[in-house]
Amino acid sequence: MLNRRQRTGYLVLAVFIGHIILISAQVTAGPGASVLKAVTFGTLAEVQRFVLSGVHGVRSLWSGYISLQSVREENAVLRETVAQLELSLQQRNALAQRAHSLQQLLELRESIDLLTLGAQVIAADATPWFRTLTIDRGSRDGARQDLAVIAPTGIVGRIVGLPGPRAAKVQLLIDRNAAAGALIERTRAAGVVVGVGDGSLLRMEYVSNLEDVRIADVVVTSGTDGIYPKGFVIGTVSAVERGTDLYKTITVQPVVDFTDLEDVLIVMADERFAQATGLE
Amino acid sequence: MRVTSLSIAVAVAVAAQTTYALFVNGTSANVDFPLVAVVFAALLGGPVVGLWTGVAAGLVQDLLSGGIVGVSGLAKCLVGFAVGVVGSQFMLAGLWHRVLVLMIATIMHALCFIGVYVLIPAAGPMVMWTDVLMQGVANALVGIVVYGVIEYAPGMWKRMRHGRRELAARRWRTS
Repeated sequence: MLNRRQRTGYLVLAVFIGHIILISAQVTAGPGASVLKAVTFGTLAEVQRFVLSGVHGVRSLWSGYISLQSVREENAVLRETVAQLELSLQQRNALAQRAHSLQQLLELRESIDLLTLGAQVIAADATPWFRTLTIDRGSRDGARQDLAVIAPTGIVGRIVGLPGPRAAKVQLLIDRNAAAGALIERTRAAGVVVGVGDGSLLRMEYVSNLEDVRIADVVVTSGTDGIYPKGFVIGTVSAVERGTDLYKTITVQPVVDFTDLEDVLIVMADERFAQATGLE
Repeated sequence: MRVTSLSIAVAVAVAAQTTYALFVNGTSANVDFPLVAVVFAALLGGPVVGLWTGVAAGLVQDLLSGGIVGVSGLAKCLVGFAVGVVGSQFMLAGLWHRVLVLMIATIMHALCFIGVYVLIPAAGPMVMWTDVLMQGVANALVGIVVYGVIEYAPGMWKRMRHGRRELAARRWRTS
């Protein structure tokens, strides 16, 4: 008969071996584990959605009823801002019309005509070490693995893992495991932008020391990775050094503020992009 | 009852982690709420309770994060077990003892977490040791607050109720 200490020892051993088997199954790319993960993720995402709606309720109560002291002054400022924005909108409409005609002239309209789906961020990563987000669109809405996720300012990341019915996990471009094919817009020098993992910067790799790259150069997606559509802004070069080997050391400041993401767009691969990248 | 309260503690910790991170930093936060819950459970319940709480909290975190399922589970169950063993051998009721335990638990958790990723052919997260130390401090601060609330709140509540009852009885006597 086992005593209490022995029982505890065997229990620890069993749990340890169980975890090792679980990790090993995923490392050897067992598809069963992915399905298990997807189902559990979908269920847990519903809990996250519920928690977030509760937090939003409290926040709206606070902002709608309690924190109304400076609303009058804010209203005056907002009216002024609206007037300025209306003026700006008229100017932009005129510019847009001109751009539209130029766009048709250059037959570029199809290249940026992407089908997108709006999504709301419902949760951040559950561990402090990875850079992922959970969004409120899942397989029921047509979201699937490896679809690009963008913000109005630029590239956010891609959907990883099998999405749940009403939620999907987005790996941000700043995650250490993330990468995207990229170009320096000015010189068309190609490379790969990868996440550094520290949460704020990106690194552009495989750009030859012979290429002309300057600080403040705009970095855009090249479309060669088959995930991100071509021409979307990733960021700007914040530091560039001649590398010790063949390639430059380039640091890129992303245009997207990853600390303030609330709404994003999923790029539902359009026909042209799908044909070009071999997606269905 | 114990399983229910531990499940609730883990659920609250994970919900706090994902929601807090979203509002504070947008992507991820330095505090590891589930680890604080695991350490607390291990100190109160011993090694086996710490082990199971670690398994539950770690696996839920793994399922919700971008990493491999089981890595956090393994790291947290080992930490929970170790803290439980230490907690059953020594008196760790003092404030500084708990701060120390939380900081050591955070470092041990980071060591296990990184160690597993070093062993497997997958790109793990970039973990800076300064971040781990900062996380240790943050976990300790959160832990002190949480432990304080859980330890002192029931007593305060009882005293308040007792005081009210006394007051009501006195009024009754005077009228």
